[in-house]
Amino acid sequence: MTQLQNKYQIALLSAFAIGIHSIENLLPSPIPWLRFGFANIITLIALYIYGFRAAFTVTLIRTFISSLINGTFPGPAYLMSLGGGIAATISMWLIIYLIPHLFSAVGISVIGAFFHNTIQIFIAYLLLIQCLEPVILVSPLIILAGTIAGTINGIVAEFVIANLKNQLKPT
Amino acid sequence: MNTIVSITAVSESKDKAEKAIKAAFDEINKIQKLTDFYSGKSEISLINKNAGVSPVKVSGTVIEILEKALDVSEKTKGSFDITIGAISSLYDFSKNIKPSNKEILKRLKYVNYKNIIIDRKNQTVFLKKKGMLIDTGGITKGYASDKAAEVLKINGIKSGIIAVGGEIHAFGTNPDNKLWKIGIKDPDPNSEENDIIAAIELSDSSISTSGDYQRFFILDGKKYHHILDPKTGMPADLCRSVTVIGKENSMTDALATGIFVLGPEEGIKILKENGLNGVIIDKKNNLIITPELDKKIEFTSNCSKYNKS
Amino acid sequence: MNLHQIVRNTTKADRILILFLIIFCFSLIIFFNRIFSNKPSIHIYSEGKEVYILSLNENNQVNIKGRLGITTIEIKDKKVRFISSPCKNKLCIKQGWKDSGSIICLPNNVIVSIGEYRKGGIEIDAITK
Repeated sequence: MTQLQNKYQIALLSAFAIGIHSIENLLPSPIPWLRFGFANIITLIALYIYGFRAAFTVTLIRTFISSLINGTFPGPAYLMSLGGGIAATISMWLIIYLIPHLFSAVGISVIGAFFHNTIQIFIAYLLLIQCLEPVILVSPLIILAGTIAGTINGIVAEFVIANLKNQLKPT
Repeated sequence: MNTIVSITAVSESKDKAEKAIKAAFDEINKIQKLTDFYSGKSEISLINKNAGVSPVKVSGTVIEILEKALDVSEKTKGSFDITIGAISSLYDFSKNIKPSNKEILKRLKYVNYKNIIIDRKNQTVFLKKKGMLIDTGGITKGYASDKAAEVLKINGIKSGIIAVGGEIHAFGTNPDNKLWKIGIKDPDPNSEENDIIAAIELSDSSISTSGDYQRFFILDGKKYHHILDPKTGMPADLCRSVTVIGKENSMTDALATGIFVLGPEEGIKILKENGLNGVIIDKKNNLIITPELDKKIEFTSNCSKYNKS
Repeated sequence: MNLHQIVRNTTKADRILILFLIIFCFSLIIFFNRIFSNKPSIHIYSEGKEVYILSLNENNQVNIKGRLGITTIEIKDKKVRFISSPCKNKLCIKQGWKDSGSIICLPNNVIVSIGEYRKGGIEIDAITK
């Protein structure tokens, strides 16, 4: 793949991720940060197909542009989103890189969701809440929801990756 | 008054409440000035100075206080007696001074409430024997809280609570629209200032407690507290704490002292005779309450130190 | 590729991970709810000492040794009552079921309190002393 193609792919994936991220923000949610994290699907796809650098770049672009769209830049919501996104990307990449065949994309997605949420809770604690009790009470709930959402996202990612890999095969 | 006075008035208007509370404080100060045992200018001092000499013209307030005091003296067969001043003035609870038995015996003859002659018509008071001293400290706090309550009511206050020291007069309901809830101090000397053994809900009532923990000193291993038995001139030792609940605070204030001297059996009898309620902890740590109180009293875990017989 | 295939493609590690996280979170939720729940517990004191802390949510029956003898207390449907007491007037039993406040049997010196019985812990307006 040429440099140009790479840039093009990153831009395309970023656009997808921003769209998904922004639409998701419009959906109502029972707990403030309880979201599906569909944008993570894009990160996962980028990781599998284009590698860590592409995925990391997509994450940075996605969180930055989305926060501009949602008007949260550079507030705590942006930092949470950025921290969560970076944590998910790095953790997923590390697992893929270190133990390549132990997990399928579903497992990787769950791991990503787990670190995404953990870091977000941690940042929220530092910046917003600073009271341990509600954080401790709500984190298992968030991580549980994240695990379920991560599973679903992983399945979706598997679909897309499988289809994309077919398309990308040189004909 | 040589004690902490607290007045709470419940009102829809802050100005109205503040005005009423100020008037109530003025009333309490006025009573204090008239009755101060230690000030040479008070009417009580004038009466004492003229003991055995001549009747003294006094205000209606002082007449009223003395009449109420004599009423309680009658009810308690002299166990509450304001003429105890002749002996109580020998003690100094801040300097740990206890008079010798000889001194006490010498003055015991001056202690008898029957030697107070009140002439209502001429508004005079006369103490028959020279050397007699009346000290209304055992009733003025209660009386003052009654009067303060009256002043609040005159100023349009429907609910309030007045505490002159531990003498409490409550009327209406508390700010949460519930009955006033009054705690009874735990007489245990090791207890904290605000430790209570029980709480009682009341309205339009007064509550007073006399205890051996209020003012005392320890000399040669013996505890001397401020509630003296008019018959011996020595601190009464049958009770540790007596709480009396009734309409008038002057009555409950004086009666708590009188019953403290009389002891638990006589005390409960007097309470029942007068349709009053009370809580007594005697020297053996028995906790006795009047039967009517059973439903109104809420005990705390502190009361586990005491035996209910 | 369909859903069935994807599920089949998941590795053993995937499934263990998901299962572990779900069980872990559930147990944490239950555990934290126990610890942080404000649902009052029942505190039982005998002769001035705390002898039991029980949950108001679990039906239970306990015997407490007091000064005179054994007092039996029953907890049922988030309420508590005295079933038997060696005291004379049985006032504690007559109070029946309670879901707040406290029941005190002075003769046998047993106190049952819903929520912690703070030392002298009654909210009051004034103290007579």
